[in-house]
Amino acid sequence: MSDRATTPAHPAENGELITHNSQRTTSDAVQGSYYGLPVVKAPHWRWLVITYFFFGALAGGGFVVGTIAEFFSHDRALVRAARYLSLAAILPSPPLLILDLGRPERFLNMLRIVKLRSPMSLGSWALTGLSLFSGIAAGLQILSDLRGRPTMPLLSRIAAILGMPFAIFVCGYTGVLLAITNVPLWARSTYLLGPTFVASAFSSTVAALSLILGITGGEEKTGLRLARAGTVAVTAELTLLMLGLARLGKLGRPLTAPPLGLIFWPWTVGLGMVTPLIVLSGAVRGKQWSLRTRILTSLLALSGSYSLRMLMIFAGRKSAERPEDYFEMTDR
Amino acid sequence: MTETITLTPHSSSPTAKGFLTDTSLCIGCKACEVACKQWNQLPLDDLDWFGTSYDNTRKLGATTWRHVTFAEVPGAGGAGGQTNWLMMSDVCKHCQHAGCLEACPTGAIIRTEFNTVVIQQDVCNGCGYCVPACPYGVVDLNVEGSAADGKAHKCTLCYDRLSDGLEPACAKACPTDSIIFGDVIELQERAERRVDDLRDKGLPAYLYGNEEAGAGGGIGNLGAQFILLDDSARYNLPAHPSLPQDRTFGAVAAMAATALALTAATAWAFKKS
Ligand code: SF4
Repeated sequence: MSDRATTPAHPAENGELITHNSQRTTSDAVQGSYYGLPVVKAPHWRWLVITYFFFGALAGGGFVVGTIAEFFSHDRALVRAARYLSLAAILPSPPLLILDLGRPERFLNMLRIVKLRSPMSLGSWALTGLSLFSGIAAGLQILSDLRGRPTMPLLSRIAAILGMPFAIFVCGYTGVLLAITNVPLWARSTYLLGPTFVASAFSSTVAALSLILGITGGEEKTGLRLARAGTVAVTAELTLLMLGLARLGKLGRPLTAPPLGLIFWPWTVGLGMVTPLIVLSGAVRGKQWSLRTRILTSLLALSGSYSLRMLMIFAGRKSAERPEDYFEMTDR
Repeated sequence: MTETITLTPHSSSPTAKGFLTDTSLCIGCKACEVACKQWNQLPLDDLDWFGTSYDNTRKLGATTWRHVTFAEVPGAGGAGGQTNWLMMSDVCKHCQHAGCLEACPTGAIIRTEFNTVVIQQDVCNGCGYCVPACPYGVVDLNVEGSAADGKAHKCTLCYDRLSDGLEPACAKACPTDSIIFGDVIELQERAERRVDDLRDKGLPAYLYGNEEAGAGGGIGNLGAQFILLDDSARYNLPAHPSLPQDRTFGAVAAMAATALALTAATAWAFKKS
């Protein structure tokens, strides 16, 4: 208290500040808001959660693609890579989420209750379920690789099917998690954010597999399969993202206008989606692509998917700071 | 102290307790803010003058559970463009269907036997998902400062005092009875009479916290209602907020449908050739 009283440079005594702020008072009063102060609050999530969003997409996507490959392609190299990818991506996920908690030692409280209307609760359970099935699938894969012949193929196939609902949920619930809030940028595009994140999970998983199998020298057919799947996934991702922006209209500006827009358009959309789409669709049409192109394209697509999640979170923070956006959303 | 917890959320039930905050009576003395801090042992905010108004806490937060807004409205209130002060003591609304409670994955946020919404501090693990789930920006994580414990905090409607038959500290301290505590149903009747009175006096008063204004949209009625004299945005309150969780099912369905479509497309991509 005492140093507060003796602090000489009180902001209110600073002429410039008063001028600036009193101008703001008038204009905000005219617009009818409360001094431009935020109405709703954004979550505290930053890099740990952004990174988890990225790994979660690969963990779920790896499992889903592994199951599809198992039943529809008989491409063992593809199945193996997908299962290892899923496991490798799931391992860092719980630590990232636990470290982000205000009280990490209480993370098990997430599993003391199931709440069907809370995406955070559903997501915690889905991640737990996926860990189990991904662990079984990848574990059996490791055993098969060590022994040089399939280990318990029936169990492996059962796990591949039973794990699917969990894996699909982990792919996309992060978008639903953001949507089920009062942050205008996330809430206004409720029914498109989850789909966008799902499509992005497919595209980044396919990119990661293409990268892994490109480096480890998989078959040419595998490369073609992945190029085809990638073309579909990136097309869906780009379309859903643009539909979401159309739905958002003015409320999308925290993402699309500078400063974040200066990253969003060239990187996330340009390098992360459009460029891979051009290269992948070329490969599908039979154009030759060098290993270097393949690796570079995969890395671009992966970075695009990371930046999409990063920018969504940071733009949501900005969106929550704009009372005019929330008032527009709640103006019936 | 009773251990009963009512799980049916219904703040209009006969046992529901709540606040009525009549802004026409508020003189901006902040006795409620102080009484709340004293009773709940909340630390001092980083007080400062912001150069915009006499508001020096600016928002509800982890350590500010009552917040008095001071909106200076030029030309309002008739009388020759004279500046008018709109003062309001903001607080957690103790929603009939609360976004924070539905979002909480640990079950830390509960509905009490008074139909109020309380965060159990020994369960909260600080995931922060209740923060953006509140349609009014009330609940916040305490992650900064000396009292930071990483957990979510908000008004408890003085759960401890209620359990002992006392009224909440803010209502007790308010010298003008701008804040009154009681049964939500009774408070509603009282509010309607007061709104009629104020309207007879020519003031544009209305009740904030029901289907018509301030709640509805799945939220139902508010346990803490307000009598306002201007557009709710002037008090930094949304006109027609909604309950985010009413969209959960649709959002999950849209997400799952997309995933299934992409699964089929990927199967086709793998199978062809
Ligand atoms: S006003 Fe916000 S914090 Fe209070 S009960 Fe409603 S949702 Fe929860």
